[in-house]
Amino acid sequence: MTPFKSAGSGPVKRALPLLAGCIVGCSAGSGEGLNMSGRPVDEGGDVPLAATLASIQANLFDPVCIVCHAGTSAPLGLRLDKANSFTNLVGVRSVENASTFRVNPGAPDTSYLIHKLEGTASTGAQMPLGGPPVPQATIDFVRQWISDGALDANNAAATTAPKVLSLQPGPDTVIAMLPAQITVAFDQAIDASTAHTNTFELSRSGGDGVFGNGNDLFVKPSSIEVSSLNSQLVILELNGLAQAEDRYRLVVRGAGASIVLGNSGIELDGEYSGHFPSGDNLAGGDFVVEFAVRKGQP
Amino acid sequence: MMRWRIGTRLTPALLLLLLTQTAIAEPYIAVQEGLKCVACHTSPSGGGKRNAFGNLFAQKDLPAKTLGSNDPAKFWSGDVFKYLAVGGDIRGGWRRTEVPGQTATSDSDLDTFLAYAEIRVIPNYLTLHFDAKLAPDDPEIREQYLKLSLANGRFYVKGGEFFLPYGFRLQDDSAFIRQISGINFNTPDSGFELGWEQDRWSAQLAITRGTAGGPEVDSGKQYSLRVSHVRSRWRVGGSLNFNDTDFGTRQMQNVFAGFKRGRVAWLAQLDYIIDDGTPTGRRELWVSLLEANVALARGHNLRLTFEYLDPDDDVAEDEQNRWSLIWEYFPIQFMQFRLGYRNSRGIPQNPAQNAEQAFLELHLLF
Repeated sequence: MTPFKSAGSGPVKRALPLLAGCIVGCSAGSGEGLNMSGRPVDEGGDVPLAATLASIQANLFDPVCIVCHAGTSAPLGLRLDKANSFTNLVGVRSVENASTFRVNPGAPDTSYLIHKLEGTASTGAQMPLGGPPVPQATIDFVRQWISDGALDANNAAATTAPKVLSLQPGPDTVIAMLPAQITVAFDQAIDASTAHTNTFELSRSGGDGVFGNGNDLFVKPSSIEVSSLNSQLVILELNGLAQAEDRYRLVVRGAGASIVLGNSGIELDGEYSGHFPSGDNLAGGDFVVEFAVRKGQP
Repeated sequence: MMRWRIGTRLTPALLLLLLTQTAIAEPYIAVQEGLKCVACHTSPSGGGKRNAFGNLFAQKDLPAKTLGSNDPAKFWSGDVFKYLAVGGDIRGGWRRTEVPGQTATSDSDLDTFLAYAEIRVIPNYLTLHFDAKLAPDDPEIREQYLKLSLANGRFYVKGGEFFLPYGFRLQDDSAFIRQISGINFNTPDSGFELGWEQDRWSAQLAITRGTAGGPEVDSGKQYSLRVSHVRSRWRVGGSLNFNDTDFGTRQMQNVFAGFKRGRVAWLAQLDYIIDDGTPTGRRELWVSLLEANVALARGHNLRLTFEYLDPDDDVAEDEQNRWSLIWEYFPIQFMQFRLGYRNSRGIPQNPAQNAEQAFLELHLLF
């Protein structure tokens, strides 16, 4: 182990020039031609701060949050990029505190997003992690957006076919028990009248892991509803169903006589090829995924 | 065996604090000493609970002055008895943050109180490890895993929830190499890890969910490989990480190195990240760290750090950097003060990228 003695100024003199060289050689960007989020302005200019999701996205989520909360490694699966922020936040339970919604429309004081921004959450650190706290004036706009019902401004202009953004439990996962709910998240509001057992079909293989060989069993959820908190989420309640170890298949109909429609009346673009969002950019097509329940899984 | 002979000059309040302390998780100490992480920590990747040697070093060699007996046999080893060893961590202090165009904020708070436990089900072979945050706020388990050691510790396999092996495991989770990689003390993952320790070599391979602490959402896995070679005056290593999810893929690779010359211990790490799951499609990022630690005198370390981030190689003028100057002082065993200044620079239109921060931290460790 090193016997410490007085170091004098020599080592500091040697270290400083190299670090100074780095500081000069790796200077920060000028920001020329970029918006507040560091993206080229042709991807979207700066937006005045207001109590709308579009403004909060441009002034908070994009410039501050998605440095971590985006892409494959988003902490706790919380993605706050424009395509996912609404479906990941509104009416979705917190992973850190499952008794709380990340955003509870109409109730900012009980929304976990506010707790994390203001540093009052019961678990984990204040966000942004290690960075300067978000000004209260900005948080107040988030509070106001939640008080106003936490609406997604993009929904009114949906002119494309709805796509599936995510699913819990995930496709091809193996889980220890049948969950209390299956949650299907879409990229736009879903016509609530098209969410029922004919458009969300859940079945299991009958124990052999193979579908379509005559012994498949229909599994009827206790309810299938568009979430009252977030019209982009469809929730299949499975409480009270028998816990059968088996392979399960969920089909969300986008083709055929009975199909899921977006609020603007366009049919689901559901084809799933292993990556979200679903679809082939053509309206119509079923979303078909499977998962397995096997006891003893972590 | 647990022994408390810290001397009679300590106040009861200080003794209370000593019952609850922190691990250091600072790779510069390993570079200064020419040791592997596993020499002082129970985790081969470093950080968290310290082993008997780590505790001895932290009491005998790290502080400016050791209070009480200098007999190593009487130092705190972490062992409560043969089958249980514990450790801890407390950090708290004062912090002032200035962001352009905003009112400066100051706060003083308890930042974290961590507790560690190692239950030796079969000593030297089968152990259970826990790392829990006890305060502030609700208790939270950060790591919990079962570890099986074979061939005198040369090989191990562990399963459960743990921090992933990737690059230098700095204590500062806001460092670019920790924040941007997404592998830090806030993102344990579930799975298993294989490890190998051979003389100067260390290697870890982890296969985990890839959900950064969230529930399993797809069948894809995250693969983390870290290899390092340690010499008395230098070390070099590399890491690979691949996360395959239904939301895209992320591939990360880095090289890291440490070098000791005289009183200066240098650390450097360079990361190249390819992200195929971002809102704007494929993105390539560069992240780097250069750190000089000057051992001013026994118990005193002066740290100068420079960090650089290019968040998208295809976009010009979006780069960020951050430099830090931190004086670290271990006055006595179990106690560290840190006085520091951090200056972040980014694009001018984003005030949060141009923050300045000063802090004074009290860190208690055992």
